[in-house]
Amino acid sequence: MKRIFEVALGILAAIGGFVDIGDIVFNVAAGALFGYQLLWVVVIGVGAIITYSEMCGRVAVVSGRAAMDVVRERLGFGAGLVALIAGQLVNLMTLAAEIGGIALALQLLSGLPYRVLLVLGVLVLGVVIWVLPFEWIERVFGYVGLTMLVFAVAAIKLRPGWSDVGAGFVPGVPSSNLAVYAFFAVGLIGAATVPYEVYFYSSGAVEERWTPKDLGINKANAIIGYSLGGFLSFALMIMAGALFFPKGISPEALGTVALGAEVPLGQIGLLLALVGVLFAVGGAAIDSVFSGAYNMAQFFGWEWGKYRKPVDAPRFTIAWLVMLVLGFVIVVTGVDPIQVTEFSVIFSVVALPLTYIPILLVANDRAYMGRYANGKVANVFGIAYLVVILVVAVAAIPLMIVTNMGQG
Amino acid sequence: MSETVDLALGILDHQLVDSEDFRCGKVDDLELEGLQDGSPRVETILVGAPAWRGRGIMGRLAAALVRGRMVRVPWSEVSEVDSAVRLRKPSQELSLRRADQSARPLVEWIPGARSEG
Amino acid sequence: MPLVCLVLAAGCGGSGTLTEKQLQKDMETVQSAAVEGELLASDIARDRTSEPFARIHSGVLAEQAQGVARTLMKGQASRELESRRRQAASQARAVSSALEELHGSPGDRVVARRVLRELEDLSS
Repeated sequence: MKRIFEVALGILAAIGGFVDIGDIVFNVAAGALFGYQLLWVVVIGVGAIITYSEMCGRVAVVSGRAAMDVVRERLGFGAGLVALIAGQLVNLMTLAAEIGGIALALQLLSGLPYRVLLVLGVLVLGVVIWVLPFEWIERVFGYVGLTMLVFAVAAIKLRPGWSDVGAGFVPGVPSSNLAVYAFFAVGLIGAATVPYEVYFYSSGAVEERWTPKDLGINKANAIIGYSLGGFLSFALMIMAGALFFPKGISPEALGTVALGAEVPLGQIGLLLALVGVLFAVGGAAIDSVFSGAYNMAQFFGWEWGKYRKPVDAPRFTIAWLVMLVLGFVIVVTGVDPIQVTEFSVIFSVVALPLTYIPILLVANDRAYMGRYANGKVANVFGIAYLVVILVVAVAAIPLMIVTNMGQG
Repeated sequence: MSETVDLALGILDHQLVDSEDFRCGKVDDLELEGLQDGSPRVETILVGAPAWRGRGIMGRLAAALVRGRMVRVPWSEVSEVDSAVRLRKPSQELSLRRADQSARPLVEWIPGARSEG
Repeated sequence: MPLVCLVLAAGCGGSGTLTEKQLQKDMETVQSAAVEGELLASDIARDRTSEPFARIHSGVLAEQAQGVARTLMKGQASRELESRRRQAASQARAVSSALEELHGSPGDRVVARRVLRELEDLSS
């Protein structure tokens, strides 16, 4: 009974923590431009993160080694270092975007100046990471992030044409604007599979000392948690498709997203939406700070882990502090966080194969994984998604240039 | 012969863990011996930035940019090899984890630095 | 978007000549801000929003419209597009100042109702 309770809690935290600023920006923009037509792509993205996380989690549990550790081992020092650098640049961009998102949400809630809230936000993040134990961080941000469900209520209340919504789950191409459509398809997959989630998930498995008997929880967390989290992405797109698309509203600011909850649900909808965004994005910021530190430590062999005393893992500790400061520096220059988000998602798509391929190889290595190596099902999905990821990685930058970041 | 060499190379880039379960670097390079007489074995594990010089272009670039000392860990210090390379002694006795020791004062002064997270 | 602009040398405002496509995009941006402003004004009038949110977001929308107005007034256009450019610029300015009114009195329901009517007229 206690086990089921634990699993349920883990799933709840995964749902609330699934959505980050990239998902918000891309799902709402896609809904505003194409209505419900891109819903099927979100399904693909969710499938990709489930496949990838489950494999990464399984490798971490069986070997006690997390993502970047495995990457260096498989690719060797040289190629591994390239993967590390690419991964870190993407992590940093993502972190900057999330920090900006936090400040925007706080600004819409409080009316205080943006730059003040940037400083406040970063300080609070630093204190939270320092003080709270690992599981608490995940739980607090995950549970409160569940208020994002207000977007599901809003989407329903906006009375979308449900048969049109259903049609959106069937893969198809639009009659015009094909390049922009493809760009958003790439962005949606990128937003769902953003690398820090996987680095963090696999390191978390080691932090929480999962053993092979926890592999069932690993699977449940990944499959159920991320599926239901994907549900939140659907809600964002459907809300935008029902409200913004027919009115020709093009969302360029976080306030527009919040308006989508306010129009059908009034002030309570607005507040729940902003709080939900704040905690979902806040949790994502913390995850990406840690991912940056995990990656450095795991590549170079330093002692690491939130479960360690900071004095026992000083370089790891300094790494996450530096990461947080660098993220802040990027965003305090005044660059628009929404634009940083768009760049970070596109570049993370390009870097994704560098992490995915080693993981797929290790997960198949029977000498390493023993009886926990990939079975047929895992490999079917693993290889199918490898193809998807490679296609998307190659197409991302050309599409970004041709469509001028989706502006068309 | 090549099977043993493969096994030796198989531990390249693996995590090193000391007797107290602390992570203390990676197997950055290896010194093999006995290649001539047909029974190759690992003689020494090399740990540290200078050891990257033997790891290709990126390795030489990284070694040039990062200061550090190289530590030689004789193969006799290895107790077992599973997913990590486990050592018989604590890191200090093998001169490993020195960078963490030097970085310690930077973090120690912050309240709560000695409690587990 | 400076990186993207560097790559897309032409058509990024660097040349200063307005194209049909760019004019269309600018008008859509202004229209989008106006319609969104209507939603916000309507919510303010019915007391369905919070004051900080109304103030901040109306400011963002006003800046969106004002940004288009600035670009349109600076640029040059061919003779066929010239009158449409001027019209679009004045539309952008009108939308922007209506939104600025909301921004200045974010809790005022009377102002909100009036701005709502203005924006409805402008966007029809």
